Amino acid sequence: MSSLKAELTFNFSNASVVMIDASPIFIEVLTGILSGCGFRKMFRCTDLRSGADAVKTHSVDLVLIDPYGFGEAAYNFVSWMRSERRGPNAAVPVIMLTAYTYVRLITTARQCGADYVISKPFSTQGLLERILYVAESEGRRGELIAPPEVVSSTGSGVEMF
Amino acid sequence: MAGGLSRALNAPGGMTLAQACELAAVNVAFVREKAIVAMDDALLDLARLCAVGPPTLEHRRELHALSCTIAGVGGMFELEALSKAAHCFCSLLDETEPNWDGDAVAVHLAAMRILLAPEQTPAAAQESLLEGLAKVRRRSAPRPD
Repeated sequence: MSSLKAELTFNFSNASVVMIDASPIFIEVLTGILSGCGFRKMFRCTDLRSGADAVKTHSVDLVLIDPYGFGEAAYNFVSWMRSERRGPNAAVPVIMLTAYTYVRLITTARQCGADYVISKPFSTQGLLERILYVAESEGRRGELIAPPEVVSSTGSGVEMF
Repeated sequence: MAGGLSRALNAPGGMTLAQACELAAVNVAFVREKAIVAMDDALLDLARLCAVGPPTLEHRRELHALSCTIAGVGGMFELEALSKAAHCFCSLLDETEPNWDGDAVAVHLAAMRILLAPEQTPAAAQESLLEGLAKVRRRSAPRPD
């Protein structure tokens, strides 16, 4: 994937991203990474309520969420997004970022409708490659879900599909 | 209908992955000092909570959250060993629950403190430290046969 992605150019200046993470310092790190990647419209949320507000009131293109600090509510948040079928954000790509990955998290993430789980810490390249993959795959969510037995737990992150 | 991300691909005024990584690295470097302070604070909070002894459920969650913060942030600043030690501490908390091994906890906290300033510890020593932590964790939480 890397060699193909090396040739690709992208301009995320008009794309909007919602970051939800209970850790303010990680939000700052993520902001640095995403602004380096060209994102300009960023919603920085340290709680689910502000994340939900951003999703309710704006058309967003990507959600990055660390479920850790929010427990079940984080998965319910993604389920709620997906259930808003007539809403503009029901099909928005959701990438979960987590420092503590365990099997149940991956299963729950899959069930609630997240697209990827990426382990923290990650490299900018690792995150960006997945964002680019999601960008190339938009509109094909249902086709891309792999069976549980092929879920990989190697590499810089855990890929759900 | 194409979403905002797909419209960004090959859009005018774009950048390559390599350019993005370079710019992101510069931005992340600006946050480094603040991140080190945040991890230092998290370590102090961990020590404060652990000093009390066996934690309540709420304190155990707090310990877990603090060590997850260190695990997630450390590796973003080339503090991979610190990140792994914090991850090991999370596992220790999980695997010993509802019990509490104060000695194993103290060893993990001391290791994380050392690994927050890794330039003072040779790479081989860091590796040994991590191996030691893994052994301590396994001893504290032996898996049932």
